[in-house]
Amino acid sequence: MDTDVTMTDAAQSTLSPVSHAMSPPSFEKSAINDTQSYNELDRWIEMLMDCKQLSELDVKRLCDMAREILVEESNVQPVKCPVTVCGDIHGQFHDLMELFKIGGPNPDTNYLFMGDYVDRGYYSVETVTLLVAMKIRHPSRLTILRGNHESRQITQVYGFYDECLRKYGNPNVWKYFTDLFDYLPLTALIENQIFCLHGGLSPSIDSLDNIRALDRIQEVPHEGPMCDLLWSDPDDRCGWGISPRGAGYTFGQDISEAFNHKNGLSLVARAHQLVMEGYNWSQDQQVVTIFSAPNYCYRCGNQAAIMEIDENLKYTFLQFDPCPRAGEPSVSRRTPDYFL
Amino acid sequence: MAATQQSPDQARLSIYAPTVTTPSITRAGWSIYCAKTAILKSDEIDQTTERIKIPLPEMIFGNNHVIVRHDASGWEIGFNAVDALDRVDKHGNPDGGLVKVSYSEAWLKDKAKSEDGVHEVVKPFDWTYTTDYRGTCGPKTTVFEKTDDRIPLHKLRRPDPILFFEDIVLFEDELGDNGISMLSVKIRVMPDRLLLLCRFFLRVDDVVFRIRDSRVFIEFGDNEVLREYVVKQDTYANVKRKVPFTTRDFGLFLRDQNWVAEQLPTIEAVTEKAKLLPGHASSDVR
Amino acid sequence: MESSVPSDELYPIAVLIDELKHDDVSLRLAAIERLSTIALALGPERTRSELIPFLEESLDDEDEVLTVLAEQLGNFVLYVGGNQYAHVLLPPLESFAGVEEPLVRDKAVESLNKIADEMTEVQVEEYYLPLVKNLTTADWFTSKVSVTGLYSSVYQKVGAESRAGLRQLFGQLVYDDAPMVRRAAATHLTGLVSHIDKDTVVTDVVPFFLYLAQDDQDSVRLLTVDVLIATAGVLGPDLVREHLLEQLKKLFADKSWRVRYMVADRFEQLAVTVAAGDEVVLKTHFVPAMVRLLKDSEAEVRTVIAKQVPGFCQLVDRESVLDEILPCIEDLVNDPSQHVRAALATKISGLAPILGKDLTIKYLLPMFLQMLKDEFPEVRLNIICKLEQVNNVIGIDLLSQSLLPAITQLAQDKQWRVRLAIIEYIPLLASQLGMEFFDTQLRDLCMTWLHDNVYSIRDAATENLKNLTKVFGVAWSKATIIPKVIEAGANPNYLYRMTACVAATTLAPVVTIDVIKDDLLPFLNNLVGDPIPNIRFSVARSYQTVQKLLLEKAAESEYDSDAMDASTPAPTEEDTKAKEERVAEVKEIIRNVIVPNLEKLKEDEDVDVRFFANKTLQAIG
Repeated sequence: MDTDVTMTDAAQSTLSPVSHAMSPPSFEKSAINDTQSYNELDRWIEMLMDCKQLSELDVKRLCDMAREILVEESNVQPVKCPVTVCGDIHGQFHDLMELFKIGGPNPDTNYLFMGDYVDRGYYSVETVTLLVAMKIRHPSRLTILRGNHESRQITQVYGFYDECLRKYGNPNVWKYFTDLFDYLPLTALIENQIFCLHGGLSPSIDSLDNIRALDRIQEVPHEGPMCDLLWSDPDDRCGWGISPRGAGYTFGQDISEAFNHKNGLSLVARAHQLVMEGYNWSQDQQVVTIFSAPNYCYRCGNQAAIMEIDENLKYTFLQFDPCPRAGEPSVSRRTPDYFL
Repeated sequence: MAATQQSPDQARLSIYAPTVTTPSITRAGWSIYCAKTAILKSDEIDQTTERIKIPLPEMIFGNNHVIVRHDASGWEIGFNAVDALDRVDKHGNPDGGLVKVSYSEAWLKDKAKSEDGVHEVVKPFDWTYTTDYRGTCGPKTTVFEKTDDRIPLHKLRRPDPILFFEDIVLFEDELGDNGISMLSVKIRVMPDRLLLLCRFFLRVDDVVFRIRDSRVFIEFGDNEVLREYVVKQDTYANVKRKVPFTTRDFGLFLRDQNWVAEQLPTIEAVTEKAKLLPGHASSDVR
Repeated sequence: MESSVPSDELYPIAVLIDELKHDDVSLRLAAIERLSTIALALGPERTRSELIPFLEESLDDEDEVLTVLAEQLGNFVLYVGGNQYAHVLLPPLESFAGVEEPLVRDKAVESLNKIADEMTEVQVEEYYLPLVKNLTTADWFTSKVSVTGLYSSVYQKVGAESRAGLRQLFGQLVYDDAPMVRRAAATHLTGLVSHIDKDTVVTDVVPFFLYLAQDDQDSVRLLTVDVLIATAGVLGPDLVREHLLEQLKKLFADKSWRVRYMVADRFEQLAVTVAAGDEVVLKTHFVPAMVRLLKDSEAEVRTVIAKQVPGFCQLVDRESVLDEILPCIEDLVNDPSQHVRAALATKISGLAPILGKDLTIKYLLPMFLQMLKDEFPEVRLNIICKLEQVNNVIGIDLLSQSLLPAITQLAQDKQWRVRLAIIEYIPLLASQLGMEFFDTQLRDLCMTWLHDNVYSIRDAATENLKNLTKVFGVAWSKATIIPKVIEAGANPNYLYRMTACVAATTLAPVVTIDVIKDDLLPFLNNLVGDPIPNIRFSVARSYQTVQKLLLEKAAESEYDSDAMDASTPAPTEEDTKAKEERVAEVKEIIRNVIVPNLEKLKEDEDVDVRFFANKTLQAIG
């Protein structure tokens, strides 16, 4: 087991407990509880629901507030039922609005999002700002986990960095958010039964306590248990395997069965992979994949889904299509080009 | 790699069944059939995986196709994802010829320290989905033979009216956020000729760029079809060096397939010709 | 201020020059954005003699800097000493109008037009016309493209002789070799033509139009549709027909679908301006053109022409509508393109008022029924959203009889937006059908929406119950609706209990104090002990609405009436006394029932419940 090695690495590359305590308390924890900040948050959320971005300064304040809340959350954040579980969003803001129209508004409906809020879509900034604002406003009604796209490295390649630069003229907002992403919990546990995370299991992790022992406050490393939780995929074949790409793991049904059994779980719910129907059972119903970005990348034609878990842990999947986009031409035709 | 496999021409027994039976356009005795729809559903993915025996790309437009057909003779060539994927290296070269992601070495080294007992690569296959696919020929399609003729670019550079144009993605995979692998078909029909380009485009971040282009050219007056197959490849670093240093956005260039195509050196290029049989009756109507 | 500048005020220009030469683009940008401040400090004379020449020399900058500079100069007349010096701004803008980046050129043209507005005729003749001439005769197409945008504003400013010269110059742009220039000329001819008198339009502009309308580039030809409309506005119908109709007929049948798309998109407008009510012209030229466009081979063209149908049919005789156009519409109902069908669905009901009752029943109703079954949800949705127009023509009885089966089917459509459109249509239907018919045919359906798995449908269902209560009255609601709402409040899933809670709150404004007191409030009170915090804070929010309504209703003397909107006679003494009693009673309910429950919720273990309980308590005061 290699976790201590990673932890040592992590301690060097991120805030040690001491330096964290010494970092300037830009936002008093108690301050989030006063009416004024509630009103401000409500105003922000209202703006964001209209797909209007916040000012750079307000994003900074938002991230400062969010950090205070997220740092208190566990690597295995306990979540109560009822709750609605959602997968990748990828900056498809209007489809997130559609999701709320299907599942109900927050805080009335409790939500758990399993990461990948940014990249690919055109509205990563508005999407992630809104989810973070909602998190601060009603922390016990919304849980947001970290996906593999909530990382400095990935967002520089797949769109979020460019979008911040385009919308704010500088990379500060990207920096505030990617710094905040280090604080997002890695996994959640619904009523000690349903284990939720972005990617999948890791050969370095036997038990939930292994996860609790990780130092998560750091950039997603290229290797090790924290990386695996955000990156690995289930596979038809038994046991652990190394991806043909030369990095990353796949896990078989025997692995998830053993993990669920050992930790008293009934189900692993994860996101990370595109599925045509929005959700997909695998490994004899030990694992379910949920994907909540309909018509992914605006051209896959897939449905999205969310999983409603009621107070008796009964679950229902709701599928949905992309929201109709006003102002877009109804007939899409690619402009002919004189390609050679 | 193409040499070790059966010649692409002979892949006549397609495992793919086209869905569209009315032509998108008919011009000078040639009909174009295009299908453009959503990615495969789970059960279709399962069936196709069963047949192809490798995990399918993340976005698999398995029901999309373009077929170019000579109505009188039944001569046809089509392009679809399933036949293209069937030509991907399904086992991986035993001496480790498969592309690895940029951080693979570091990952494997770190992993070795962890002694997790996991050593086996799951079902190794060419996860970049590199394919030497040049199209699927029908039962009445005559054999392509090497030729010194070339596709007449000057005729294609003229701004002739485009009577029909389509751009169809056959598959796409983000390679687990390590780049992109994509196979797409473009076709344009002008009054006197048509051009089809089936392009495989691969970018593995910090590792490699690859392009495999198959072009089909038909001059309606001639009783022949020209097909050109071009392989291009270079390292990621070499291509990145060619991005104009004044730009603020490298990604814009590295995502632009046409720009990349101009930067990559040609590794292999071959032009073939198929003659239409003049006396061929149009007996079988699809 | 311009006489003696103290030496320390040389500082700003020095800083500016430094910053304008700085390597960092953002610093150069910031300097340009502060240009007016600096011009103000320098005073008009030095701005003219030093700043503007300096700016002219620094033209070789990044496009984003030039864009801002070009924009700034448009507001600079004030800083160079007012309009008599406006011409000093022209040389740098003339250069910007020729650069490669379109953004810079657009800003330069915008600024040049602003400046032209502030110049006198003499100034325009002396300084501006040479600029127009220079740009028009420049070698490079960029200048020529830019200058097309300057003619309209300058044309109005000058005398007859110069106008003739301008038209002649503009002709050079129309006949230019580069399609980009011809496109720009066609675009701006639309604005220019409205400043030219009728006779001159015939002699000078019509040839321009005819030349451009026969361009071998379809991107040029399609722009002439708007030129034609603008020209027709000046010429009037007779001259238009004499000079333009033949060319318009060619545009109707253009070989490029983009051109046909454009004429289809402007079809009604063309018919109005060109035919101007002349039945023969409409019948011989426009009706056949519409028929051809409705049968066009391109789906895009059919989509836009479908939207023009009702507007155009208003202009022509009924015979042509029935014999020529309706058969094509019947084909479009089965069009292979879903986009065409969806476009038709938004507009087809507009034919009902034109056809009248009998013909609508005979021709349109069967088409509606078929489109309501279309496999593409947007088609179904678009039809439903426009049914009211049909209703006004044929009456709800007929409509509901023929549509009821379709409506009950669509009420369970798998697309939630289709269900939503049906729900929104229900209150109207209810008011027309009457209670008995509604109770047997539609009531159960309305209650199933409370249990829909899509939130937006449940939410709309609550609003629907409120509207139905308005239609059928409080007694009906109390007997049939409210028990079902209370039943939904016992659902094992909190999301459905939430809907019940919202439904009770939504109904409160349209029922009496008694119903609130006897039915709704006890139901809400029950939910105070709900195990799920979301329900508890939902009740806390509901209490705020309910207490406010109770007070309002008590004060408005609406104690027990179904006829809440009935005009009441002046209050008697007895009334006043009764009102005081009622207000006292509801205050007691608030004090003895609502407040204690809120006090309990205020101590809840959940922070959100406490928050909403406190908020309502504060509102109660």
